[in-house]
Amino acid sequence: MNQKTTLVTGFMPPRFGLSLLFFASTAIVALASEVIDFEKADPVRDHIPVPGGFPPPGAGIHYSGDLITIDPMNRRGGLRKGNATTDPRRHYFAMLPYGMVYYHGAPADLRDIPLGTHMHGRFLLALKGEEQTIPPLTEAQLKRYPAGRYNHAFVLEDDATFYSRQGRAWKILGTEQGGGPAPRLKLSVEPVGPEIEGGINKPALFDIDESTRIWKNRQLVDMKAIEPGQLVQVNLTWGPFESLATTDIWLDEESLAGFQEIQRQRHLRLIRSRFLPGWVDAVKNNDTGGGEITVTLFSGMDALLYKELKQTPNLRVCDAEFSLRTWAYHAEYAIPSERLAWKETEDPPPGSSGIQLQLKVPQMLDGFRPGRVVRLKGPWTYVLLPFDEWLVTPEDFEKASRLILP
Amino acid sequence: MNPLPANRRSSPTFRIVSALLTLLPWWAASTALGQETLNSSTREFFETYCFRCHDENKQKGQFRLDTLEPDFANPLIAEKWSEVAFRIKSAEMPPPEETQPSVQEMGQTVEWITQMVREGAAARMAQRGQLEHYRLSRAEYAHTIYDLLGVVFDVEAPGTFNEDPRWHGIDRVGALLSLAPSHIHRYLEAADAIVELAFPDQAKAPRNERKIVGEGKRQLLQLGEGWGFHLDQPGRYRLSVRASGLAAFTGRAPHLSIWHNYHKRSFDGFDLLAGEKDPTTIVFEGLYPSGSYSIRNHARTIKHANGGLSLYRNETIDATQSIASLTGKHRSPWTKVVDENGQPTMPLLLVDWIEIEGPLLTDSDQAKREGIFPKESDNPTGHIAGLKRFAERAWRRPVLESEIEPYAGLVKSEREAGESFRSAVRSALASILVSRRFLNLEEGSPTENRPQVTEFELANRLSYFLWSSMPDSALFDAAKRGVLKTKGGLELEFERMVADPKINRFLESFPKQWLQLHRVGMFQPDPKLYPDYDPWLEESMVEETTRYFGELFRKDLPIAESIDSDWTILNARLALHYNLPLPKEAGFSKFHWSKPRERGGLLTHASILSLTSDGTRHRPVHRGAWVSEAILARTPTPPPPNVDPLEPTVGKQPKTTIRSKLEAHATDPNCVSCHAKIDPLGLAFENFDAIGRWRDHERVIGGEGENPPVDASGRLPNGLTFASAAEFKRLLADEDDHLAEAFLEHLATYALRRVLTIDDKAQLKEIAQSENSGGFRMKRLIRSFVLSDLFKQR
Repeated sequence: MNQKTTLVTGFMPPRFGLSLLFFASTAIVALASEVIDFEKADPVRDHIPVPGGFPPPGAGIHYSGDLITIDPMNRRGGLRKGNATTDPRRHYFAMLPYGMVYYHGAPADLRDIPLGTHMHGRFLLALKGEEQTIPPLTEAQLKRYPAGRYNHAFVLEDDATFYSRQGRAWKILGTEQGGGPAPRLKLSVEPVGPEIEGGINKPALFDIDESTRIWKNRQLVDMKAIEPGQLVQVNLTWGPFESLATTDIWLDEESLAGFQEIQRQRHLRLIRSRFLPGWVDAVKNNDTGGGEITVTLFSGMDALLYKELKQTPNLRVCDAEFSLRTWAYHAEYAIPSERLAWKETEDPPPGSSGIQLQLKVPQMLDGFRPGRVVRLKGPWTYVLLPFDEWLVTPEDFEKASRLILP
Repeated sequence: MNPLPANRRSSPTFRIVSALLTLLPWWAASTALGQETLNSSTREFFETYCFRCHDENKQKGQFRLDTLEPDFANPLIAEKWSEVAFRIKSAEMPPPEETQPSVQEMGQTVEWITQMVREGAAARMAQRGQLEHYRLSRAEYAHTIYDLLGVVFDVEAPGTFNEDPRWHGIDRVGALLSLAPSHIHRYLEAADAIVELAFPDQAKAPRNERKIVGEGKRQLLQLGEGWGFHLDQPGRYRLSVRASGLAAFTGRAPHLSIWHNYHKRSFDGFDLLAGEKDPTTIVFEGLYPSGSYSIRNHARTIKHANGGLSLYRNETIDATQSIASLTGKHRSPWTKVVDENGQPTMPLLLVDWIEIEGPLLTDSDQAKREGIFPKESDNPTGHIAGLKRFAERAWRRPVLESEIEPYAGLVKSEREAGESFRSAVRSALASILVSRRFLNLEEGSPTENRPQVTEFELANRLSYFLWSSMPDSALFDAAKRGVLKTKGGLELEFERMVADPKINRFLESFPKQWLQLHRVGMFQPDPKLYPDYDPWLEESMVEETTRYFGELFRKDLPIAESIDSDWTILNARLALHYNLPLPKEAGFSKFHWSKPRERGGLLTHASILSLTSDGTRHRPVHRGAWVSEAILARTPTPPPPNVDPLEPTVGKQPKTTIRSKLEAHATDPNCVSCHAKIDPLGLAFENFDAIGRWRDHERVIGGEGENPPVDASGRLPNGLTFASAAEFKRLLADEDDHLAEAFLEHLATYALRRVLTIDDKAQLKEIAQSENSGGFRMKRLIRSFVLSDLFKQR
């Protein structure tokens, strides 16, 4: 079996792959410019996301850095690139409602990502109406750092996911002792596979030391297991000065697949208690408090969850914030519904699962409005969420309305 | 031995029974079951199929049929006959190995036995001794107490009186209204409370206060939500409510209800349309029990899946805050207030305040209490006079002083025991109210067997019939003068009484009992299947029917219009339900149908169409049984036990109407004879769903394919056919003489407080026929009944 092939194909959840590959294929074309010319108008890049809609392919910019802060309840955080010697030193972001997080090749939540993990993201301008969610940069900051405007993440992923889903792996060339003021052992690699936007497209030296976890045959192995010619995936973090250090190296597909499955299971557990999110496309109120809502589910979730939902004719639906956060007792107050229609689109826009449902509900919640977010509960057991995830009081809403900078 | 004696064949009683075996003349034309045929066929049936195992030679199961007397008034014998009918009907007898009778033979025999047993039961219930007691129903008790003392007494409050048992909807049949020791205890407590309210040591000043939501605040009430207030005492109140009422984006208006939280029903209400910035003040005045109330945006309170109430908005908002601004700020789990265009998603109420005035004591109520309570300074003769005055009114007849002496003695003994004078008198007055003479209508005498009621008994009978309460002073006077038993005197009183506002008690109570409207909402329609169903609709349904009857009575319309007409009386809620244009005025108004008469007449009122439903679907057989019982006064044979229910449509079965399933079910020979008579009466209304909405297709839960179209056609046993409810109603309305007889039977049961027997039916027929030339007009029919000999008979 070809090692390269096995290392990259296990990372393609169907709905994840469809929308992101579409993004990537068009983004590679733009790679020629390398440095983004923010002065030059680019309506696709500068697409302003709107509630209820999905962005066009190629919208936004790529950015990568170490995840150094998160607000997992509200799906917000901050990345830092290298030493970050200039202001602004962090790239703060909010996940778009349909924004996806991946870790170890599986869907994830920000809370699943260890702080310090080097992440790649695609960032769009702020969602319309949410311009204050990430405290805006000053004009001077923006002049130095125009990418700071792109503060709503469409996707966020670790290196292993980022490279492998685009058909890339690293070929081990060997190890070598680095020099300079902080001499460190280096893992010498070269890219195998296509050139990709935002990626390292040339041979590279990553720091490696005794803290690096090296995986083979689903076991932690010694550094001696590394051999030149191996095709591997790595996860990275900041190293001294401008280097990147390895946190994990997967020497075979089986090991990485094991990590992927563990993360997938963690994701399933999370979503089964928080429910599948989507936009409300349309509503039809009746005049006694009930009505019908049409919902398009977001992409980025494991296929099993959509399947489970499809098998639930009387699912429940609760409303949610753009952060996907829900009200107290969200499972109990989720409105029972009767499914009137389930429609699947073959080629959905990025961020959309292509699944649209029409639901009849006896009670139209205040949040059941076009462009608002809802979460749909499948046949999953009841879970009382931790109280700090609840939104109840006006103060809760106020505190959750913008990222509180650390 | 011949089980059916020859002399039975020619008795008048039996002729009437035989005639009644056919529901209508058109049926009679086809079935032609004369007495001779029936007798011989039943006898032949037994001889052919039964006696071989149940005669003098053989008694299988230790049962002998050939000697079973046809004495249906004997309860033990009647029970045996019931067993015979049951065994035949359930196809248990004759056993499978024996020669089997035809379906028609079985049907004829079973029906004959059933009818005879029922007649026997009626006769047993109607057996009257020399002195009969007819206990007041709890509604009559409440009316009587109010008319006696001006006291509002809540007979439905916790710990007071139980609901009265009903005989086919009628809750004043003496044989059923027993008096148990537990009743006496409750009557004692009630009497104490009533007398205390009427004659307190210190009268409480009436309350006059305004309760506001808050300074600069309003209470926003979505459907089913309420804002509370409390009445400490029962009585007459004037309640003024200032509120705005905003229609939903569809035009559906809110109904502001004065809702009693314990009774779970409205005591008054108003369809309110008043702008946010233009609130209006509505004044309600009436009799209210004490307790906790809500000013309620009247609708079904939706239970949430977790068992709590769903969170429809019920919150205090700033009076300056516009409704359109209430969007997007209260997400889960609150129901949206305004739609995407800023219009209310549902009818809304915005309440500012309520003013409570009461209990108000009107001059007439005050007058009821005068001359009863003696002064302490009065001599014993004065005490007796007050007690006697009260007892005469309470017992509704002249009272001898000797009858009062024990009560006067009670005052004395209470005083001697250390009670205050007022307390002692109250004890005596309360004792009068727990006397059997108050709690019952007494007719007859222990010492003589009178065929007719006395003047005072007649006054009571008339008063409880028309007013559900005691006679007033004018009626007492008429009785005293002895003019009631004259035709002119009775007619004069009848006309006076039907012109009195208290006739509304009859116009509300009688149709509810006659038509069994207590069954409306008995099985609450499933909210998932019928989300539009709400308590205001339910109340409106019943009110349509009672108001319709009121209109028939007041306008003295022909009884045929109870079945088929081009009008009804409805409000905005019913107009929505019937998919009609909203009326321009608030409240109920007369509506004339321009389309074919789909809805005209009682039978197609939503109340009637829904009272036979089971909460999930319509039940055509029950509808047919109701028509037979309520309209034709012919109670069908009850089904045998353990009949298999109609199976629901499941899986990949094609969607099928209830009618189709029923037709398959009714091919069973055990069922066919009854269903052939009952089903057409119900299937005529297939165009109406379980809550009385028009439909062309039947919504079938489960199964595959389109919902099937409904078929409201039918064929009556006499061969007459109809294609729709409208045609069926026309056929029925043409039989106005039979409608009148059936109506009079219900009316007489209500008025005479007893089950009628076959002995009464000739008189009922005679009364009905006397109104034939006038087209059997409603008020005239009732007047003829009151003036008839039957009304005066014991």
